[in-house]
This record gives sequence, C-alpha cells and structure tokens, in this order.
Amino acid sequence: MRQFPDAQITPESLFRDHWRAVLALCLARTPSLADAEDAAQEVMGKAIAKLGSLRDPTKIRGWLFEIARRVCSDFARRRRPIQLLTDQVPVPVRAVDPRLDQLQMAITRLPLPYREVITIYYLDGRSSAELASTLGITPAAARQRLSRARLLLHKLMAEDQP
Amino acid sequence: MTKKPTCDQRQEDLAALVLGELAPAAAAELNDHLNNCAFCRGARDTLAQEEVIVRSAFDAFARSVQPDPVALTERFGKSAQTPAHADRPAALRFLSRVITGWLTMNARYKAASFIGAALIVAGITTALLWTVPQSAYALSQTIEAVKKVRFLHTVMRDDKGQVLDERWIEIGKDGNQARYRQDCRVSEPSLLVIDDGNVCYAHDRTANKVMLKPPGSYQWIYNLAEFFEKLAGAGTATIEQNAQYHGRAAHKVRWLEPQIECYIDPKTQLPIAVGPMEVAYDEPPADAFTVPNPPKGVEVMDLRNGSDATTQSPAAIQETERQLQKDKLFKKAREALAAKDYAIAVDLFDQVLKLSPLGNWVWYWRGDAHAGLNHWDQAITDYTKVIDVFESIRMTPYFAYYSRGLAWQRKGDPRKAMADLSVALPVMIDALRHPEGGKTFDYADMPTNVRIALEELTPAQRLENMIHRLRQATGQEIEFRPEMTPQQVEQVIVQWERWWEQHQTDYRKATQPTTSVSP
Repeated sequence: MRQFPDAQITPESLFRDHWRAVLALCLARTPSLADAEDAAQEVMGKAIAKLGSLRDPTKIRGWLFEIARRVCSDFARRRRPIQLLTDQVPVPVRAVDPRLDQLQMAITRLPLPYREVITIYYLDGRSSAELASTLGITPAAARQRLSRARLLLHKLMAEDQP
Repeated sequence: MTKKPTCDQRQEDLAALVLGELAPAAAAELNDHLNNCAFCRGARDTLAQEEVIVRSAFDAFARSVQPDPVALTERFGKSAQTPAHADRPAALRFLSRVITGWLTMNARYKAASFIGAALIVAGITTALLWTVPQSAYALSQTIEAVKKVRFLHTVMRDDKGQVLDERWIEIGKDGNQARYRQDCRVSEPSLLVIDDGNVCYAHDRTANKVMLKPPGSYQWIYNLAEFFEKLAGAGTATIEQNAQYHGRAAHKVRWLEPQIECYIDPKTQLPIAVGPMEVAYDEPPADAFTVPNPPKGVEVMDLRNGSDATTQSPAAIQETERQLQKDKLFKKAREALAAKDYAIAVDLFDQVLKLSPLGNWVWYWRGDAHAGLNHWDQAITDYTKVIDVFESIRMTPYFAYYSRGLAWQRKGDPRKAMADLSVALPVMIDALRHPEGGKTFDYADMPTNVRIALEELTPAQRLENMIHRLRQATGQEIEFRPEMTPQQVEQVIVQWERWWEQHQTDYRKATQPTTSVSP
C-alpha cells in the first residue's frame, strides 16, 4: 500500500500522490469528463490554498475527498449548460475516444458507490488494497464491491452496444 | 459438502479474476470450472477483452487531463511581471494567478512549495479565492490584442470540413469594419458580398440577382474589441486554460448569455475561434475587396439610401415593398399573439413566412400561437425548426427547448418533455443567480416589447419571470413572492437548486434512447 509522507505536503506532492484519486472522485460525481476535469482542478486549487488548515497530514486523502465532494456538489449547481457527452457539443472540443464515450455513459448509470469504486480503482493504482485504504473499508469489502461494480459496468456497457 | 455456485453466481468472481483480484484458492477453483464450462469461458473472454478497452480508456482520460504542477510555479513567476490585476489587492492578484494559470505553463518545480507556503502566510480564505473573476485576466489581454488587428479572416465549416462561409474583414483605424467580403458557397442562399467601403455589392446566386446596398449592410462582428469588451462585461464566463482547439493549445472561454464559446491562442491572446467560426488574421488576397461588375444576365437592384425610386428597377421597388409589407405583417402578428388572438396570429405569421421563408422568431412565435390554440403538434414542429437552425450553427436555443418541453408535456408525452427540459432547466436554474441569463427567455415571452425585454427589465423582474417558468415546467410550487427579502429570495433559489440536484438524473435519463438500433 502506498504510504503518504506525513510531513512536508507541498503542491507538487499533492499532485503527485493525489491528483488521480481526486480526478476519479470528481469523475464519479460530475456529469461529464470535462466537468470532472474542471472540478478536480478546483479541488486542487482549493487544497493548495487551504493546506495550512490540514491538521493531520496522514489524513490528507480524506481531507481532499471532503473538499472534492463539496466542490462536486457545488458544481452540479453552478455548472451549465450541463451536457452529457452524447449531447451535441457546441464547438468541437477535443477528440474523445468513442470507447471512452461509451464507458462514460455506462459509468454515469452506475449507482454512486459503485461509480466511485470504478473510477478510483482504474484511475488510481488499480489495486483493491489501495482502494480499501482510500475508501476506508476493509480489503475484503473493497474486493467484493469492486468485482460487483465491475460486473455491473460490464452489463451496462453491453447494453449500450449498438 | 458445500454446494457449488451456479454459472450465474460465478459472474462476479469472473470479474474479480479478470481484475486479478480473486483470492488464490478461489481462483484455482474457478479455473477448474472454466476448463469445463464454455459459457463461463466465453464470459471471461468478453470481460477480458472489455478490460483492455476500459483500461486504455481510463489511461487516455488520465493522460488527457494530466496536470503540470510545475505550471503553478511558472505561472506565478511570469505573472509577477505583468500587472494583470493592477486594480486588485496583491493577495487577490496572487491567488487569481494561481488559479487562472496553474495548468498552462512549464518551468521549474522549486517555487511550487513556496506558493503553498506563501498562501498560508497570506492567510487567505477560500471565500476570497472564489470571488476573483477568473475571466478577467485573459480577456483583458484579448481585448488589447484585438485592438491591434488589421484583418480578420473567418471560416465556418460543416462537419466534413467543407467551407460553408468565408469572410475577410478589414478593420479601419476606428476599430470598425472598413471593407468586407463574404462568400457563402454552400448554404442557402448562396451569397457573395463585397463591401469596398463605398458600396455593398451582394450577389444572391440562388435567386440570381445582385443588390447594391449602403456600405456596412453586412457585417460579422462590427468592432471586435467592443465585442469582447461587452462579452467580458457579461460576467458569466468560465475559462479553461488547458483546452485544445483541433489539436492546438488554447484557452477556452465560455459564456452563457449570449451563448458563445471562444478559443484564445495562449501566445498571441487572439481568438482562434468564436462560436462556430474559425478566426485568423492573415492578409487577404489583393482583389478581395474589389467590387466586380455584375455578371451578365443578372438582375441588378439598387437598394441604396437616396437612390431615387424612379431610377430603381421595378424589381427593386417590389423588393422594398415586400420588405415593408413583411415588417408590417410581422408586427401585427406579434400584436395578435400578445393579445391572445392566437388564430389570427397564426394566420399572420403564415403570411410573413410566405413573404420570407426564413425567420427563427417567426417560427418560434407561431409555435407559441399554436400552443395557445392547443395545437401541440404544430407548436412542436415550429419549435423544432428553431432548435434545428440554432443547432446547425452549434448553438443551443434554451428558450425553444423549454417551450417545446412544455408542449410535449401538454401533449401528454412526459418523457420527451423531460428530455427537452433537461436541456433548458440547468440554464434556467442558473439564471436565478444570474438573471441576465434569462434574457432570451424574456425576449421570447414579450413579442411586442422585445427591446424592453432585452434592456429594461430589472434583475428582480427577470428572476420573477424565471421562477414562473420553472413552476410551469416542473409543477413545483416553491413559494415565491416579489416582496420577499433578499434572504428569503436566497432561500427560494437554494430550494430550486436543491430540487434540481435531486431530480436532474431523472431528467437526463429521459434523453437516453429507450431502444437500441442495429447498425
């Protein structure tokens, strides 16, 4: 399991150790990839500004996730126009891999706890042990939730097949 | 002896196996089973193939949004020399630099930690952080940059990359359009316009006629710097600094009202795309602004001011009269709509469309008149035309989605109603906090007073109008009275936002197709 140094959290260590996890949480909690990216940036910006208020550096993951949950819920309120990737994008933005598109659609249809499991697992570390430590659950529970989520994702992706 | 799981029950274990997350003993047992079960082998293979896709998709996503923490540093260093926010306190300048620029640059690592420390020392709260308008920095630079531009070259393409519309604009010393050339080759009508500053020559190739009009009769954006100044004042822009435009690095700036997306070249600070137009600044070909002689056999109409009726061709007189008549009918039609004489209004709008088949607002308001008569199908057809036209230039007419949503609702198709409303509602809810965002809705609702709708309504009136629309669309009766205190109004807005948060998933679900189509 990855250990985070308990001192000297700097902006760069914040990015190195936590960017992907924050991005994953935001991906699970915002309606589109672009929103996830924007939200994750906002989280990191806020985190850097508030680093001084972090009392216990070993709890940084939880602290970041707390910020991320708040940002994402604000985001849902603030963002507009909220567009699913399947909607027409006003101006060609960036070429999105169609598979990513399909995957994103399936992810948005997963129930939130499973969605978080999937995004965190795939974006951050790809091990159930790490997932367990990030989510604060037992490794066994993490494994079970992960395989359940993965199977559900599979079913949703299969439904979306043209 | 424990009962063996069925193949169905094994699916979750198969997922775990593919992920490499199955305990060794369980994996051995499952592998034994796989040797004997074609069904489970098939399922495993499908999952394994899919796993490759899922992983590469997540990798691609992660790569596409890989942040550069170093950016923070460089941004900080660079901006320290440019007085971008000279009018703001130092602490705020500092923060906005961090936030607006932190992904765009590349440089050394070392000052990053300094930034973190400095922020703490500065003792700045996040509340302050988010009051910094994130758009100010890049936009003020863009406004300055476009003031120096001499030529504009805009191109609009269709999905296949074919040029639909190309324009050259020479900008005069006053910042306004001096000479202009527009060539629409594909769209209807096919049009060539050349304005040399003295006369505007417009060749309608579809109708095979040439019109001579006063200079300045056609324009794209009259004054680019003013255009951006106005946009900057619109206030609801979001900036994405690490975006791309067709593979080029660009700042993406998005406004809600008017709904425009711009891409800005980070080096020159000049726009490279405004809405559906690509913009460049190269010098036009030498003869771009030379007014040609009208082609032979083409009817020429002189529609310039002061050109005496006696010197005008009969066709030109007819054209002018047609225009006047159309304007008159359109005014009458709008008056009838406002007076709720819906049948008369429909008839008048029909006549307007006979004289000139184009006109978003004619369709839209005819849709309203049909809706007034409970003719939902016709109303939906009209609103759909508006939506199609807007979307063909990659804009979203939220007001038309709202109206069409209501029409579907009344017609008794709640799913389609929700699909349309899922487009409009986020903007409508947002407009509670930014009442200017409801301008086009007000315009749509005030066919006889469009100027008042655009310019004279107070934010409180816009808010009241929007709440009324939200109630209509959703059936939610969140109490609101115009005489409420600001605190009470805030409570109302929060309640609407919460309502949307809770219900948006349901609305979005309605946008997903119910049946899949085979290729």
